[in-house]
Amino acid sequence: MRESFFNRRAFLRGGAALGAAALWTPGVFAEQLLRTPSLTEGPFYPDKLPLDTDNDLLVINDSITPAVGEITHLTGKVLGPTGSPIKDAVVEIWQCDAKQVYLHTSDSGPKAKQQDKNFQGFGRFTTGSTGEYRFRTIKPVAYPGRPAPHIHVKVKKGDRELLTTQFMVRGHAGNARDGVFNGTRDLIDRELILVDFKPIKESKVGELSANFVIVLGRTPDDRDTQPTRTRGR
Amino acid sequence: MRLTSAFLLTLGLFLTLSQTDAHPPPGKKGGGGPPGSGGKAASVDDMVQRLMAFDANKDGKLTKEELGDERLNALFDRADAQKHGYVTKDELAALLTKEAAAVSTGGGPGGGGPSGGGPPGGRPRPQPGQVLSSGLQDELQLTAVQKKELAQIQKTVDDALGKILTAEQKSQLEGMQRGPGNGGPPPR
Repeated sequence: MRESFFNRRAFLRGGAALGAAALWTPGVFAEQLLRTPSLTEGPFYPDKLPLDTDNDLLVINDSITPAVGEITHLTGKVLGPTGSPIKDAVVEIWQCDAKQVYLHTSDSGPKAKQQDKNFQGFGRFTTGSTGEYRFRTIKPVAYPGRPAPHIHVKVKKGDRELLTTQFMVRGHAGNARDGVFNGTRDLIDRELILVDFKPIKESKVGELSANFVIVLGRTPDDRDTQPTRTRGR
Repeated sequence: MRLTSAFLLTLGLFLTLSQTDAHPPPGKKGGGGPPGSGGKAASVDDMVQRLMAFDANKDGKLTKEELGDERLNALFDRADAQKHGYVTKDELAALLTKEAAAVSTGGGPGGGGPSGGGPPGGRPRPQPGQVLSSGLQDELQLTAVQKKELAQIQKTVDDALGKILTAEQKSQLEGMQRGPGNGGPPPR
């Protein structure tokens, strides 16, 4: 039996165990929050979605064998530019497993032997009224040619893709050698895609927590109500 | 025969022109370092301004509370070297100048090769694999016929590159091609 600080069932229910809410104070001032930069999707967004696409990437369906890797509780919020939470946003994450294999036929196909078959590789979460999301996954590892460990993120609402980006591990030595990270030339933008992976004190098995706040450029509702602007301004 | 020499010429041209942009391949030390100042890196002044805009009471002292964005706490702490709980415009400028310098000299190990500088500002940096960037084409004042022929050469290069690169390497290239703007829609 796995001994985990967060019981899987409670996790899937989205119990209030993880106090993500306390980490964010919505914009007290009228200033706009800095927008999360978009970054390349890369070639490995799953070409065939797995049968299990829930927010626990460590366990596929009812398997009893968890994925290999450092267990990470990833939380965050999807916010509009003024800090208002975005409801019903679908947050998707994907990353390679601890053996450096993506769930994608052109990667997990040729590297089938190397692949950690217990890692889900991709997950989804739909935000509620607080805009919060949560995943249980592994701390990302470097990938050949990508010295910066990273997790890919896509945010959708309805049939709209609102943002595609990636985030990296703050303080990781590989960041400085990474093409995607270095392609982000703005120093402030870099801060927005770096995430602390902190040990959870109560955890006896070395679990980590990570928080990635996503600020969209415009609220989706703005865009929905103004699909085309014919009037000049 | 003519085609071969044309291809070699193209390849030579491509290598010359893309040198400024070369990233060190994985596992190889040295090389170009990250793209140089040719990219539209935000100026220090601009970044300072964006941050000082959060100085709600306009007293010239930006606090963490005013910033109200914990994503920037690490940057704030680095700038607040004196640990007095606020940062001034000058402190931010000092930090960002220092960090921007580290970025443009290549940053990490393997960077800062002889060609690390990138093209001078103003001209858009060429993408890896691009024979002549649109900026260069304009500068050279290519004729329509030349542009058409160039497009054919480009296609040959793209096809050839596409055949020899693995998905991983294409992924890397994509990362390099990504400009500094972060604005546009993600490539699909």
